[in-house]
Amino acid sequence: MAVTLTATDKAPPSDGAAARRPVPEASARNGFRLVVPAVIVVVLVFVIPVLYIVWQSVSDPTIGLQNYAWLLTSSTNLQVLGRTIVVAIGATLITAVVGYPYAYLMSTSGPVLRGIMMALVLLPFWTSLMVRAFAWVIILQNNGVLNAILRGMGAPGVSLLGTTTATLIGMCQVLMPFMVLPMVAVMQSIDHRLPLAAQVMGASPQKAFRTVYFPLSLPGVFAGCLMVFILSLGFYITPALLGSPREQLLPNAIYAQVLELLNWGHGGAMAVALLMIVGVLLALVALLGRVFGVQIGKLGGTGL
Amino acid sequence: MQGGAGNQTVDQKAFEKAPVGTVEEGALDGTTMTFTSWGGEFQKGQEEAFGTPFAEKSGAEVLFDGPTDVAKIKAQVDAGNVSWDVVNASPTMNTAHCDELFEPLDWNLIDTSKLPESTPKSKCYVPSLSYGYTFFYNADKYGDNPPKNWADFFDTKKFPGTRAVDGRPVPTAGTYEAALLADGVATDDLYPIDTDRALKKWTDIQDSLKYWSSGAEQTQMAQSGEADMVFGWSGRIYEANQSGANFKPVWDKAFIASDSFSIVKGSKNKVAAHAFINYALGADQQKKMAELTSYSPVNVDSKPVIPKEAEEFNVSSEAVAKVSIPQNSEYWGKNLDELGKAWSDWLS
Repeated sequence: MAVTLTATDKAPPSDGAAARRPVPEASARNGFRLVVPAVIVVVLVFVIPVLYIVWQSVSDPTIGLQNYAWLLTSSTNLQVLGRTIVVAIGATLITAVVGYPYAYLMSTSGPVLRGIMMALVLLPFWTSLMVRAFAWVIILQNNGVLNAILRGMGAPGVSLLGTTTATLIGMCQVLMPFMVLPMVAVMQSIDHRLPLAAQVMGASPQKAFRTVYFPLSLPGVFAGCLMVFILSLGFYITPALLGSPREQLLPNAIYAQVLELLNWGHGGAMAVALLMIVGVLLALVALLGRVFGVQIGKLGGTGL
Repeated sequence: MQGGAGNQTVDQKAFEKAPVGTVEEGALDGTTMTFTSWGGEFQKGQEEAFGTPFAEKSGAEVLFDGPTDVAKIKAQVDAGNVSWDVVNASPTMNTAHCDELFEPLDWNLIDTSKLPESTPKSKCYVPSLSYGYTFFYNADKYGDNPPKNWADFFDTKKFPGTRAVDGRPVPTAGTYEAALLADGVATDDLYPIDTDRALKKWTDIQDSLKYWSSGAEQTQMAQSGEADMVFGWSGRIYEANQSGANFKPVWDKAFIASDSFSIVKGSKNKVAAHAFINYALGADQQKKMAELTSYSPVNVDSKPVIPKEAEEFNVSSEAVAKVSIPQNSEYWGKNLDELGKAWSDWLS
């Protein structure tokens, strides 16, 4: 979860806001003191265990890099790694494509509709991940709700449970709020007179959207995609219940190594690999975000 | 969940040669120990049958924890901070980590004279109950011409339908053997296991396979009709039948498996732990546990009163004993790394 928090902090809007307001020196020092307990907790429950895992990955059963050699030479592992990234990209794309129009409608609609749409995104979010995964099991299984409806309409049933498709469906539902909420936050801050002005100046509505509105909304899309992508790399329960061991994702493979096979070194190497993927991606996206941020500033002058 | 208070005062001599199922009144006053099992209704049954009565009789305070988790045991042993004493585990797990995560048992403190001949017993465990690992088919679907043996289970032309099998990285002992038996290998020639041959047999029918990763999932798959056959644990399919499923067991060359009682390496209450195990194996205790959990007892004097529909799932019955074969947990425990690696590579 600490990774997630960092991700939110890195989201462009808060970055900009913090930079704009100068902080008096005295209160900064007090602020630092206030942070100390949180830092201690993070070091104790996050940094030290992570360092321990890194240590295990190079010391179990003997000191050396054999666990990383194992990770990178086994085709099974590379398959699992590749599949994990592909599924994460898939979940990000799907939630972005579905989430964007949803967020657009939400940011432009009146308070009642917005409230209802907010509830629709958040209500499932407040339900336990486990319960939702089981609900999908009931919906997607061979004699489940979905197939009952399909057969009722005379269509052939589909066997979804135990496939990557089922995992993706479950993941997208869980991840939707993480995509929609940052988008809405940014979209609400966009001055809707700007695309209108473009149209007054002769742009078609499509062009006004494409060249004015869409670039202005990009920081929200970025923040959402980053959150969803990183979170989806760490999904465990949903693939465990909806997917199949034959289409394992990295967190499930780590679980198997640590808890079932008792190869803590292997599990450690996998965990470090996952951490490094997330780190590299964060850096990459921060870089890209800066590039885009500059462009948006030039085009729209919103200061984001 | 720290145990160990007062364990120094326990005199081992007082517990030697205690008949199975007995413990001296108040012999463990002031001792605290922990019994860990698989959790759920199953563990509740065990607590009622012997956990709580043992605590009352011996005076020990018995804490219950669960589910059994070999990684947690490793963490406790590695850290030198062992908080679990008696663990209900699997013989495969015990054999694989004997003397490393589990204590070798002291046979002066456990009376094994009433254990059935067929059940496995080894340096680091005693059997705690019996169950069958075999396949169960939906009787409504296969009607008059049901599958009868492992060859039928692997014959997806004659018996179309989905089969749910063990999808955990280390499968239950018997998973390879079933494929080999279906492929024509004789029971006596199963070991050492030819994993390549077994996995090829599994690959042949992979389009008809679904995977469970827990006992509860077996129950759910049988109950919901997700699978037409389930290769799983008898107790779990019996549970599904209790809730309306109609699955029948196939006992021909079924693998008779045991759970085990074992003691965590470095337990601070070794004597109390042995006394607990010795008590739990008593005829009355085993009878009660069998009646509460539907798993079969491991005491030859234990004659549980079980309902008629459960009789079909009773692996200690003579009808089952005649056609089934014991699970080879010794072989599996010793070769666990290799067997698990081959299976988990095949899976993913």
